[in-house]
Amino acid sequence: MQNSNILEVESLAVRFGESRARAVDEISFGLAKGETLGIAGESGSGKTASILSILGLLQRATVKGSAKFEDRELIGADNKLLNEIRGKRIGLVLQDPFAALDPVKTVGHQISEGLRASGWSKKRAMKHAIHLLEEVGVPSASQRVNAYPHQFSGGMRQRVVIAMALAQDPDVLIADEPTTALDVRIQKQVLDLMKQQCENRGMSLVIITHDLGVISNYTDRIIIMYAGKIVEESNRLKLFDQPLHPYTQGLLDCLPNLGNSENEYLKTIGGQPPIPGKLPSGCRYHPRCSFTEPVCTQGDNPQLVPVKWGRSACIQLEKFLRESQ
Amino acid sequence: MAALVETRGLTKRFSQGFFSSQKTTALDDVTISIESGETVGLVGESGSGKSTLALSIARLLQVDSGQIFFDGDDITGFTANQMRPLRKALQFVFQDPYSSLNPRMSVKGILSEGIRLHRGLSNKSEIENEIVNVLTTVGLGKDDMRKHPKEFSGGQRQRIAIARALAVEPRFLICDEPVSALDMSIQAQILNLLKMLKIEKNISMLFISHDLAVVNFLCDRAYVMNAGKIVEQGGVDDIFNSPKEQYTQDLISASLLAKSN
Repeated sequence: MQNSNILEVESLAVRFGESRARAVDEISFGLAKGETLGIAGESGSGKTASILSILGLLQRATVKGSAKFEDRELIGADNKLLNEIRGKRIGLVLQDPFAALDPVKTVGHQISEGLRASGWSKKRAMKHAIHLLEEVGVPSASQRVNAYPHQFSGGMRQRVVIAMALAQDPDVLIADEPTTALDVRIQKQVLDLMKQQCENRGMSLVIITHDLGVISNYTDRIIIMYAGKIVEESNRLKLFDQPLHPYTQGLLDCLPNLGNSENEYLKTIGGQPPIPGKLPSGCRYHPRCSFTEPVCTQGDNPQLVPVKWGRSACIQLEKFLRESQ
Repeated sequence: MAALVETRGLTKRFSQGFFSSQKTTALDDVTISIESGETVGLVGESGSGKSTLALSIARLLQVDSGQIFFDGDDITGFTANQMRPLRKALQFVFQDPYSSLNPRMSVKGILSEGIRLHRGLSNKSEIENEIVNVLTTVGLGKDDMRKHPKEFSGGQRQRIAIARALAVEPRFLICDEPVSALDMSIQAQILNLLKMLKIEKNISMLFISHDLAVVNFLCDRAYVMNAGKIVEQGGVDDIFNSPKEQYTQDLISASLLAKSN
């Protein structure tokens, strides 16, 4: 990987509690400055756990491996270093804007909290909070800054959460399912806003989602996770035209689209994702894969193999690439 | 032919708070009809009144004014006793399979309740046969009968919820966002199951969803709701290819569909 990456994750592994099962199993990826990266997968695939572990936000979890932010190691770092990075350099937007805000403090108080903690005067921090609310498109910001979260709709709350994440002008914005709780029209507004803010500020954006529609419209590079592993890394154009892993192909086939005909069924992926601790041998996807060969069922989980535009962990990658030519 | 389900001018208002005299209009003069054998979609954003309409049709919520017809009968004022035979004909599948199944009952218990009450079967082996039949229809097995909901994944729980509805041989099924809590690959499995019911069992369905692609996949016709009103209706092809109302156009252009060929 190039050295220009602002975030460099190496062999990151996460275990929860006493369990020996890995929710995230030795994943590596980089994030370049100003880049938009999507991490997609089904629930339990480890997409959220990987990001939260990097920020030291997972309790009762054992985290191994390395995650370097501008060459500073975050895994195992003390709170002093983490506090310098969290909020200030890496902003986080969580899924549920109803849970992310404190119901008994005004939104202005919450947006400016981080600024005051880093020494801003109350007056100056509040002024900046109003400016931020304006920037994220909350109308009549100078009055709304004194309102409480319950006085905002879901979409407006998510804007407040984004304003909070942007308050200290971070270099990276990480959004974990930022629009899953929102209606389609609001979803588009919020995603447009995040993308635009990232472009204006030269900020990197990481969107974690289960929704391939969100990924295809808003991120350039895409990582697909399955059972704690990265199975494919691709870009927005190639992912849909030439998926590198049967799991990705399966996910794309699952999606109904507006062209489906009346008596048509969807192609489905049979079965369900494995439970951590009860992983199949060989490729973790092989029990559900429609291309499984004996070679897929044995040995360790296959390694990611680079191709021109990405990486894939499919053992039969070469064969598929040959066939698609 | 008379519609199987019909509403005329349904209106429902909710108070906005315990101390407030203000009221929100959840349903505003809603008139819809569903023919026998038809699958009809109901699309709209949260707060548009979709679920209120569904609950009103099932008489789980009292409307302020308007009428509800089932199979030609005006059921708006039916008492609980009068509704009982209709409960067999009209079944519900809810959004969240984690809260819609009783955690203390086995699958057998969950399914046999309806079979005993509504179909009058009392012979143990007969009931068990029926349970196995309906479990097979939804893609589960005989061995699953003794398990409890917690032993199943989200997709399997939704299959159980659908099996519970099917067990009483309903004529009309209301599905309120039945796949939005499920993962992508599991969502496709449940959608296929519902489509199979539509094609092979000829069950009439009201299918509520905020996901236009899903409605297009499953439904013959659709109603679009906004702020308690039906703003557009028609065949799914017409609605999605040439929407007339600005609101429908906005919904369609805002839905982020994955760019597959």
